[in-house]
Amino acid sequence: MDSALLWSIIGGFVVLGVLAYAAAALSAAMSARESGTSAVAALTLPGQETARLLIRQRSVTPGADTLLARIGTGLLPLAALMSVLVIPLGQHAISDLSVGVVWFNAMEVLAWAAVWMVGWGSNSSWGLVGANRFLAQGLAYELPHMFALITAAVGAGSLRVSDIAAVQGLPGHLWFVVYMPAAFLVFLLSALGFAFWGPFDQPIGREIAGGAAAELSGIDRLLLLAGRYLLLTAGAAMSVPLFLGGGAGPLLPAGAWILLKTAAVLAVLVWIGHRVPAVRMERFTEVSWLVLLPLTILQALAVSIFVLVGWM
Amino acid sequence: MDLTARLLALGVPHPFVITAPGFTAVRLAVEQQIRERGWSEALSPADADMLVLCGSGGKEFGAVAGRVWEQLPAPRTRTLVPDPDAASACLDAAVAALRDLEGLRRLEVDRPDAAPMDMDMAGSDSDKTGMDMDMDMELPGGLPMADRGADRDGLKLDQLHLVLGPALSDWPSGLVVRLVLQGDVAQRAGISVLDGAADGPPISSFWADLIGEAAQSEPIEHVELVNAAAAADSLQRFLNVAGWPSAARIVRRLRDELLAGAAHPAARSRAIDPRSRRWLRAVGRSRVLRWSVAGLGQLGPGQLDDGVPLTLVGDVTARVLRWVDDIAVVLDPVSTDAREAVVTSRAASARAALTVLPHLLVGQELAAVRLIVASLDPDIEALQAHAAAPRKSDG
Amino acid sequence: MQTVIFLICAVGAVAAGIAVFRVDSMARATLALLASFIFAAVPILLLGLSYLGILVILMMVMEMMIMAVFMVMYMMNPAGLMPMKMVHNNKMSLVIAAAVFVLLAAGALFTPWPSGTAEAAVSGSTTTGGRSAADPTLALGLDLMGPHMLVMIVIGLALFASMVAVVVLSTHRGRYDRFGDDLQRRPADDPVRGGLGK
Repeated sequence: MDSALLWSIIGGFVVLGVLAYAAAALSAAMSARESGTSAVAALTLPGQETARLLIRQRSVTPGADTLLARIGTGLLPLAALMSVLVIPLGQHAISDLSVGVVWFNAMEVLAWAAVWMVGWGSNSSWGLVGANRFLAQGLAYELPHMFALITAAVGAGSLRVSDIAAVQGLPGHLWFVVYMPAAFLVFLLSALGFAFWGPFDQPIGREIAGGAAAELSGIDRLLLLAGRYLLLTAGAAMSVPLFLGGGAGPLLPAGAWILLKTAAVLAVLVWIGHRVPAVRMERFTEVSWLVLLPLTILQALAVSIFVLVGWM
Repeated sequence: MDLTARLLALGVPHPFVITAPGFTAVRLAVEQQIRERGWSEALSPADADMLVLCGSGGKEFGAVAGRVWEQLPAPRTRTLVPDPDAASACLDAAVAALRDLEGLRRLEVDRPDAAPMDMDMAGSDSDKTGMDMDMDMELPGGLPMADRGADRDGLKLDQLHLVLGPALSDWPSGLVVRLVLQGDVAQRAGISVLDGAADGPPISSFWADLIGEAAQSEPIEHVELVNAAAAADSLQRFLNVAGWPSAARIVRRLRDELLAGAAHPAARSRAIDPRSRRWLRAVGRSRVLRWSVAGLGQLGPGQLDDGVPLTLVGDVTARVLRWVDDIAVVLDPVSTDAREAVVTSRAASARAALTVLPHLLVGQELAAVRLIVASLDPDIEALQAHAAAPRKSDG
Repeated sequence: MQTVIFLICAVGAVAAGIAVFRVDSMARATLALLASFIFAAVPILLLGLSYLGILVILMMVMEMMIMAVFMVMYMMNPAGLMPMKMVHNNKMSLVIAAAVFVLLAAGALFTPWPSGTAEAAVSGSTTTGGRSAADPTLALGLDLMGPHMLVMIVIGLALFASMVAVVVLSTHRGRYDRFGDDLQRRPADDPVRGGLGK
């Protein structure tokens, strides 16, 4: 029993790690193509970067709160790994909690604390600005994100991730993305948000010299960057049972479908990151609170009515 | 060969590039080399393992370079690129130095130990590239305590003194902006400019000279080509600041191609990748980009006593779209509307930009400050060359 | 096993709570408080109230991070360099703390708790989560609220409305500052322009 659990944990983390590496490699290849250099050669770049960071000296700024910064850099990948406990990345989730959706939400919110501690602890103006930007971003995406999660849970009448996926596989039921397209889009937006990826990467923005990551070097930087890709992958993986029917699909076994769908969503997220310029919270917050929040509430209302009437 | 040496050989260098006043040509050569080698520039000294100095400047520049060098974690190396032709060789030598484990270890032997709470070190270290505070009172780490002042929303908040430039990525070289921040809102802004080397030759302006040369040469569209390359240089910097590094990479490549075309007019049409054209159109039409920067840094034509140069009028979006147009004129001459060519001397527009900057920046958030500076993109070099030799044509 | 986890969390929560007053930076104090809350949330999970336990973690992380920013906002000093005392008004605080502790401890000791264990309630729960009568979260809700659910919902709304009202009343700038005296000005005159141009 215990060894089976251990293997499923190792298996789940390995799959997550491979997908996260694939996302990093895809992003590096796209960057290389944009620069006019070989995209194939760039596929190994994330690995080479890992090698570089492993032997680099850690940098410490005067007066830094090293304790908080190091807890923060460790917490980010840890949060991603813990969030994936409830997500099926293959046949089954590692631990199919009865409140899996809430668990995922709680673990993803740990990124708030992690990034803030890193930015604050580095005792640099850039780090502090980046840290506070991430919290502003969190306030903008989190409420619509919660309503998107709740909508999927309402549709299935359960907070258990496998129940939500199972309902979409029943005969006569369509994937939730059909019933709740707004919730799906908001979920993807917030996945970009909590992984500070693409248009939402201002917390580690170029124009503030790397923001929360400005003073990071060596293993600290490696952990932060890895945590970011792991979170993005966890977000993509979570969208599959919530909105894309989980393992439902013809011919292939359920595990293969889950992996395929996760990889596809992940590729779309990486692609968006390259094709859309940064969205600053100064502008986005108003859109988020005045447009996305009412939209997701209406979406939840519509789905609740569907459920009551018996249409889904 | 031990494990460290193997890992060392795997890594791809992250250079941190600082440009001295008057060395734009070197910067362009270095940036092209970095792009072609598939490296990515470090955004901060902490991420850099290679300090690349484009040219050498005055005392202030030397001091800045020294402070940045202190902040580079090991393994690290530095190189000074004196002229554009030396870029490739200098970077090769730097990479070789980064792979040489013994040499790296020797370098770190006499490095002072930068303990975080060491009072002796703190004096030199606290004065970081981007951070400079008034020395009122010594506190742990040698950092002073912040002063307080009334803020925009009627609160009394601490003030943070932040210096932007000269060692900052995607920043006009030679420009220094001293901000007093509350939160991340600028309360005051002071502008200064880095001087060139006292004993060196007088500063010459790369872009203004190139445009001047092109104006005297035979085909008239040659000027447009150089102008487009200059616009592409400003545009790639802006796109990086606006958080669209993908588009910035494309435009940076386009800039290199345009410059190559300007050097060899015969090879011009071949040099440009058709994908750049699509990307440029996408940048010009991007709604998210316009929405995200619209209304920032608004400049009316009559805002200065002697008039605002036409190239600077409007908000950030207007100025950026002007660069896109400048490039599009060369890329698709047919599809672009015939526009009245706006000829403003680079020195004059840089002078106007420096005059209006302090007023434009006050009350703006840090992100907006960077966007406004990037959209004005003052050519400090042209200004200094103009001041040094007023008789010279500045394009 | 459960006892061990409970003991670790109990000691951890108290230790982190003490740390709040011993550390000398706002950031560390806030995060120590957060750690204390998370330690307190784990026993709720042990009671089988997984929904409430995880919700406590979720809400506390968000709340503490926002609180940290507000605390720092009035004391912006990167990394909280200025060591500061985290205790004020010691005597009165001690008295209040002792009184509250006695009150809560008395409540915990003298309440006639129902017999039977949480295990019994949980084992019967079905996968329809949240709907089963054996769900301890539902049972707790019914026990606390019982027939007063409507009253509670109305009170909740009233609380929320009063919070919004307080914020609206206390803002420095009102609609006349934004839209002009005749409320006709569009877009509004704001120090920072929002994303909708309203």
